[in-house]
Amino acid sequence: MSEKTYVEDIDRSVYDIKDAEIDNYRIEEGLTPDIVEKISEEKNDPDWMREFRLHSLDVYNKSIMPDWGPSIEGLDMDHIATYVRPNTKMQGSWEDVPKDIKETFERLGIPEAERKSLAGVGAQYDSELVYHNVRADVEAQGVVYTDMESALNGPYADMVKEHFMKLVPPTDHKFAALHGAVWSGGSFVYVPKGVHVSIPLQSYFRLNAKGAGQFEHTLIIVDEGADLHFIEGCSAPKYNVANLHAGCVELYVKKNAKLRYSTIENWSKNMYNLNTKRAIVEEGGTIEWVSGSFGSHVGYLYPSSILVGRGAKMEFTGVTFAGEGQNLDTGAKVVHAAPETTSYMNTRSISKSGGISTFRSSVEVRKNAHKSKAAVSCQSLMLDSQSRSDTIPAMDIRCRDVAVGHEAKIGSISDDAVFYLMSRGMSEEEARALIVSGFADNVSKELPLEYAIEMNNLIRLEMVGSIG
Amino acid sequence: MQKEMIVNKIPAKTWYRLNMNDATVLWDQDNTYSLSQESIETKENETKEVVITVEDDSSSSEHSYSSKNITITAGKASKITAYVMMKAHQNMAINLTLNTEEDATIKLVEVQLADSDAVIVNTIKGTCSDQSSIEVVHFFMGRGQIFSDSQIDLLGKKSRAAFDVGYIGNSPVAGKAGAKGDSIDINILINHIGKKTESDINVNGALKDGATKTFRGTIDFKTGSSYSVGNEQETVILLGEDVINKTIPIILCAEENVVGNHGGSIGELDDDLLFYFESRGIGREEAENIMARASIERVLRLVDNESVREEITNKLEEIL
Repeated sequence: MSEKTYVEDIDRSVYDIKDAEIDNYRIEEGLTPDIVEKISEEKNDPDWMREFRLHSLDVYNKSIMPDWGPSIEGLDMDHIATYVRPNTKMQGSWEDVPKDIKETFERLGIPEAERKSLAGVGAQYDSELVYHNVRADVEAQGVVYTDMESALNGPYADMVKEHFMKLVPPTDHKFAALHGAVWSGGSFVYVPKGVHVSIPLQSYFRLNAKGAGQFEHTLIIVDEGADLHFIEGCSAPKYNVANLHAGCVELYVKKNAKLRYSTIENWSKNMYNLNTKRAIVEEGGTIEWVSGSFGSHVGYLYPSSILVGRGAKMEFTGVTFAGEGQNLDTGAKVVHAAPETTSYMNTRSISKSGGISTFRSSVEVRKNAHKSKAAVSCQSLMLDSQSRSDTIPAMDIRCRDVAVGHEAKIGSISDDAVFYLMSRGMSEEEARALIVSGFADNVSKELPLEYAIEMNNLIRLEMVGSIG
Repeated sequence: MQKEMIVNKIPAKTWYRLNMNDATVLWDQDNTYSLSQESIETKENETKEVVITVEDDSSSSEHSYSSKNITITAGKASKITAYVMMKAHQNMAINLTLNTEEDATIKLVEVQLADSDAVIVNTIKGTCSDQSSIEVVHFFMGRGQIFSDSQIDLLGKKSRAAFDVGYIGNSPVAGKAGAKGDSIDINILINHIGKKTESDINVNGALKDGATKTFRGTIDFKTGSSYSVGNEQETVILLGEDVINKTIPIILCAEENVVGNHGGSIGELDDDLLFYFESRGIGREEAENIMARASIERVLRLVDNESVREEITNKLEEIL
């Protein structure tokens, strides 16, 4: 009797180690004007931000829940603590970070990665950053990399006020409004004109607290002709109650600038990941998204790009792995709002053990986007019949002289490909393992080597059994 | 009184702001005039061809809304080829029900030839038994607003559904105040339920100035539809400045051993093709007309009835 090919779940043991909540400040569960005011007070917000939070709460209360994606019925805001502050201030040296928190980040490999391959690191633990540092040579180039709270109250306060939630206004959707009301933590980056940051910056978000939400805000401005690679990582231990992540990323890519934004998302399987990411790209600018979605119970994630300048470019490369108990709705959006703009989406998704993955996208080409080009390619692999895989790409084209292409494929492991590899001397088991791991290489080959290795470790697809 | 009627719903919603989840038709149900009903059947092993012309009363204001129901049932191992010529002068709804018994085939050719102010609502509901097939050939060449809503359930083992669609979205009628370009809204849903089922959706067309087209195509592999294959392909040539083209090709999959593909291209004629035409003395406008004609003629090859072919060809001459 033949045994069905078995694909191992992602090994999560390193991510599932929980720290005890000792001497943390934890706001009461729920969402009321009082709670929002308390968060604002805790964070020493300027007046405009306090008013912005209360306005966002009002928008949240008037907005409807999305009914077009995965169910979020299990998320009860009355049982989510929207602010949990660890018992430490933000430090500039790992030596000063409390031992248990430092060990958590060491297990995740963050200090080591900083030493080897990063220009700067921000590490957030629950609602606040506990560590932030940037290399002196990068700082000397005029690059600003700091936590959002320091930026909001420091020399860049006007720049923050000018850009904060202008790309993703609270009216965008219910969870953008929630973010506006209770945001905390995150990073602010400014790369001055013409500066090329040769090695990446990284922010890592760790949500340790049970039944809590994390709402970090990332604001990056890459000025004219500048260049940056920013890496975002996130993880959480698994609990038997819902946790929520509703972060917001706003990226401003100025004329002829380039920004690559890479994410390895590995939230625990009790997490509702309702994140919003958006970039606006000016003339000749480029935004590149690299996205790996592995964790979360439910995910809604569609980085969007608005190409407003002639010749602006967008590229999205993504992989989604949905295992048991996961419903991951991922994809991308692009708006071509200027001539000669180009976009390319290239995604892979894998569904196994009852997991549901949905690729959802939109390509909008406005009337003035003459000579623009867009291409969408999505491939999905079904590893069993308990799982689901859907593709829902939408295109709205309103300009004549454009070229828009789309292609999608859903299938299982090809017997022909297995046969070909076996004819080159591989066993069937090896051949299948190679095909499945190679399926996700569109993302791993776009990451720096250290992160590609981490991602491959994350996937760790193991094949066992004799295949008849 | 006109009321809003929701048609062309997709089985998996997406963002509301795109306005692609469904379409709204204004329709006066209370004052809809019922045209005669048709029922066509074949016995076991029989082969039959029928031509049905559906035409409303162009002069009567009382009959500005009409509807007609057509039921086609193909008996075991039989074949029906049905040509439905939709000649609507005012607002018309045509509802077709298609059922095939084992090994049977229904080939439905629908030709839409409406006047400029007409609203056409065309629904097709079909079911396929074991090893049977439903082939639908659609021509949208008339004027007005077209809403075409089709669903085929492939219930039986090795059953098959195929859609071949050709359309031309025309510019507003010249010299007519307030005239709008054509609006064509197509929804095709194929449910793969039985094992080893097959589906093919091919949609080709051209949009001239001011025309609007929405294509929603869904291949849904239900649990149990193992070893099934579904393909979906769309080509749109944009020939006008104020065109709106919306496309949402969906594949839903709850079964491991299936293959689903979709592909498509949307845009104007590319420079290489235009260069080829120009090198043979053919200007841009003529080249565009040739390619628009090709999107209909590709589907015309599937029509065997000479008089129907002639009527389609004559219409093509008239609009290009």
